[in-house]
Amino acid sequence: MPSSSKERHELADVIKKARTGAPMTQDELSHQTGLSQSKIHRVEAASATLTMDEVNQVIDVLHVEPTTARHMRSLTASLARGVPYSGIVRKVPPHARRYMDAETVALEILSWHELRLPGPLQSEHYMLKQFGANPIDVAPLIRTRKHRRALFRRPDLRRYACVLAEEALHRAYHAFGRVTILDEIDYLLDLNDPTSRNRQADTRSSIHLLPIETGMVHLPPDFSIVVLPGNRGSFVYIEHVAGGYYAKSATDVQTATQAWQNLHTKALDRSHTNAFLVDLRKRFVSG
Amino acid sequence: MSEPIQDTFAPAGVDLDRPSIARIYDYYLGGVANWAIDREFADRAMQAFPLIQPIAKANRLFLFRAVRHLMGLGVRQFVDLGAGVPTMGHTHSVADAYERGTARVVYVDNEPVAVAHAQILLEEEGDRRHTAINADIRAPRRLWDQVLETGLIDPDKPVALLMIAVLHVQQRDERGTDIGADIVACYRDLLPSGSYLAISHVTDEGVPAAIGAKLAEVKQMYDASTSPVIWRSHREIADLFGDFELLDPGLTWTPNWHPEETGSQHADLTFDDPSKSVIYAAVGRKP
Repeated sequence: MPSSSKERHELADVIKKARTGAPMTQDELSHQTGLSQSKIHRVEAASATLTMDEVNQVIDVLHVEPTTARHMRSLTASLARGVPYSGIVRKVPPHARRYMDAETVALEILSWHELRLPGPLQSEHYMLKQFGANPIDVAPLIRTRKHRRALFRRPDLRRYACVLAEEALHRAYHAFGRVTILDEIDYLLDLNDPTSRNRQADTRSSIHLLPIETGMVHLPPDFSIVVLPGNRGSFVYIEHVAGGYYAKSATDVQTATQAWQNLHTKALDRSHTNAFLVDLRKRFVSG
Repeated sequence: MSEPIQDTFAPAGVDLDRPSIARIYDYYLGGVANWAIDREFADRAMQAFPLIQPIAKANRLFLFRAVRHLMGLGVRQFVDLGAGVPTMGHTHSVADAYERGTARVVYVDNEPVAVAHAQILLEEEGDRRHTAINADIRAPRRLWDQVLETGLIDPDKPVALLMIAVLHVQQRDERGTDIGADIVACYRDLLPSGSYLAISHVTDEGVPAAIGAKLAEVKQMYDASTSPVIWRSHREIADLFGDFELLDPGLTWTPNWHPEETGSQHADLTFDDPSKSVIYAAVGRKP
């Protein structure tokens, strides 16, 4: 069991013991702290953690004695250094956090992915396969995915366009198996094809497949160009083997935009991408 | 008092490689919380037995009618066992549509993805009167403790325990024996006097011969690919209610159970022969 999991379980036990010793139900604690009952349930089931403010509220309401209160704060602080991010996003490497924050307010995102599918384009099955989900992590992972998908419905989003290398899908097929990639293709079609099953497609967002046959030998590393609102400017987020790099100069953004346009020009348009995905799905179905 | 059930079952993990009963059911109902692996199975089942989709919908309509009927009888506490994924209308929405702000619902499922979806939906709705917990139906006392831990259910007031399309999924002990009838007996003991038990259950008794053959085929598919199922006779399903008094019209086919309660927001579903619905349903009251 990883140390963060041990600490989560320890915090769960201490809080439950303090609550039942009070004695108080989860609902009563919820009303007195303002935390939702379901959050208290998840904390006591070791599937969620609290912020320091929240744990202090719990300590106050339950009149936890000082030694135990210190222990609860220490566990909370330790967990905050480890896994959780912004209370909802977990398993996010520190270098990606700024990008994910920006994703929630960006006016425009142009991205290129050769090796793996970006978060907002991942189906639920694909995402859980990627993280090797255990029951403890499922709710935060699903919540985070939903949070990122909200990008597509934001009224102020002008454009989200992703050029995706065909290789990413073949890689996922071999890594995660046939049914996972079928689910992923169904999800991509939902996002990109206005006539699809669930009709989630939005004209402001598009996916453009870059087939292997395109014959481009030199491909850049995965990157995203993010345009922020107001005078917050733009940046390029480039993932590399040791982390992520943020380039903010106008020259860097312009160079990346030209590189993206070059990839976009060679990639398939929306309708050809959808036809390609349908065909690829058939090939994967037949193995 | 029935013999105690050993509460020794390990928590269920997230099975990413097999179709899920809950998500298959969601697909039959027209929901979107399902994966390709579930749709692939469901499509095969529907191809073998096209009636399976209207049967699932008729079962869901029974749930809606039972909740409305119980609200009419003054019940305001619901525990929904094996609740599944909440995309296609659920107990709390039916109860709140009947009378806003008075009912409390605890959803229970052992499948972490289904529970996560329910928790997130309820968080988004922001109503703290309802919650979803992860628990094993085969461990009645532990499950009941978890339900009471939420603080939402008053154990001294009548509770409606819903076991809708749950018990025809085999509830196996460590030896692989179905213990469905034993655990229901345990739940009957746990409920306070004046409580209600609603059950719906697939049967292969009293159905047209051709449909009986299809049910055998579908059973084989479920047994091989998802979770083993069990079709009980009318007598066996009636026995699940023990000494509870069945409300009129007793144990009957789903479309025949208080069709007048269907309500205007749900389209009714009829079969030329009610036995084609293959699911018996009833609500019993604890003396």
